[in-house]
Amino acid sequence: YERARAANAEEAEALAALRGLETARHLGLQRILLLSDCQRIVRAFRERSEDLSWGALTLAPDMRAAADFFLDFRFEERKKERERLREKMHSFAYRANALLTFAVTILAVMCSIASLSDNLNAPSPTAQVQVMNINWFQKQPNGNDEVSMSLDISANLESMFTWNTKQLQDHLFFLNENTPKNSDLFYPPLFPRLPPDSPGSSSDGGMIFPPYGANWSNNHLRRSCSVTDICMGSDPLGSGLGWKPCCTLQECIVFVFLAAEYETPQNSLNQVSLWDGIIPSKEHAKFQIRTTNKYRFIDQGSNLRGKDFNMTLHWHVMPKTGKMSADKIVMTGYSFPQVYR
Amino acid sequence: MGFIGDSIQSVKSIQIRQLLTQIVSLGMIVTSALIIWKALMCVTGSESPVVVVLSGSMEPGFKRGDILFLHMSKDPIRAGEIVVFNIDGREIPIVHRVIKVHERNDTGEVDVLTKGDNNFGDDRLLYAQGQLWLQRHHIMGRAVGFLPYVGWVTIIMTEKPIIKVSFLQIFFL
Repeated sequence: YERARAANAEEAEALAALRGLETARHLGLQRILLLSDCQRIVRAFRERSEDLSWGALTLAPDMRAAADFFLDFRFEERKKERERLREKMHSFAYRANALLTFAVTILAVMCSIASLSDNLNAPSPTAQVQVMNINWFQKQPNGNDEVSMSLDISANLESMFTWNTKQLQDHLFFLNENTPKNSDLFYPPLFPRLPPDSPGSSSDGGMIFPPYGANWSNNHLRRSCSVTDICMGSDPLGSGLGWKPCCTLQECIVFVFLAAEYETPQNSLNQVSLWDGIIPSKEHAKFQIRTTNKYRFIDQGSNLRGKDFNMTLHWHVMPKTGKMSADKIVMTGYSFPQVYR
Repeated sequence: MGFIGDSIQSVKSIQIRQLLTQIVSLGMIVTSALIIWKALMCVTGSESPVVVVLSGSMEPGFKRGDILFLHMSKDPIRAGEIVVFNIDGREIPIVHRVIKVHERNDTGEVDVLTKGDNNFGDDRLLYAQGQLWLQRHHIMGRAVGFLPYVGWVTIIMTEKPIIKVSFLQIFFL
């Protein structure tokens, strides 16, 4: 075949293969693996097709004859150069894609961990509101009562931003009833005893440890989230999951507002926001301010004279990522004057 | 010649197959996104379960470009909740906080006044002419969770359609 000429690329490939086989035979090699990137030659060799219409295929019987000399002959396909390059590029794209997906998944997991509630931290804010003065109390021309008052609001919301280690100790001591009070914080028993407790309102103390199945109460503990709270949802936002966000692992912004709540013959509930503020960080969580009501206190109708009302301090926690939550403190015992001033 | 036709045929068939594969996978991505969207609509009970914050009226809590997850339930609307509402005549929903609630004794209907945290005055300027209160049917949902910054993709693609077109071109190449 040294002097044979090829009419096209496939013939050249077949001739090169034949030359290679001859050389191998001369060298006395027994086991041959021949790789070609020409699909059609490989297929023609395998299928033993008798179709000799195509130039290179006339060489196929010669190749088979040459192949018979060897003990073990395999003729296989090898990917073309550009296809291999394309695959390499693709694999780079696939790897980048996999890496990006992994990174995003990790980010999502971190966000959800940061936004899960730390059930051992029960925020216990305190607040006090005093009506310093009723500036004026009039009936508008349209028939609605309006009042302007000066308020003194003081509150301490620091417990929402920090772990309360004393509380932690109290919680874990309850689990570990047989051990003394100053036992190691992180030594809970494996099988805590649990008296069954009726799914109470959220004023019932409850705890999650382990997070599934157990639901017991201890009236000495302050209020914290219980399994029934989570499963049956007793949160004001009505979304069914009573998780409170964890402001110890991430930054939260707390929106605080003071609302007056009262009832009238026409309306079963009236809520009027009198003042609001934003607590951007733990440093501002304890405050006291004196202010007149930021928003006009106007009734629907003329029902305020002598009316009793509650002052509720609401706070809405907005974490960097995750679910928002809200709660409030109700302070009763306020009332309007009997006559206009 | 016979084999020229054959080789051209084989080359074309490979490319057509790949093109079809790409079209089908693009179609699958689009339809699965649609399925997820519709499922979210069912689960959260609101028309648009995810909204992007477009203005800075709720800073520092929600900045422009944040995504809010909404949920609508039959629970009564109370002061302090962050609600998303539509005003008649405005197409873009607004995300603000409820500051006043008056709930009727007999019908249970509610009058609601909202205000953006970062705004100075309440939303009466935004309401329709002569409207002083929002009712329940204006409200599309309550905000229950949010993700920061993710909504910028939507804002950029909406405000600069060039980027959307070039993004699609890159994808097809």
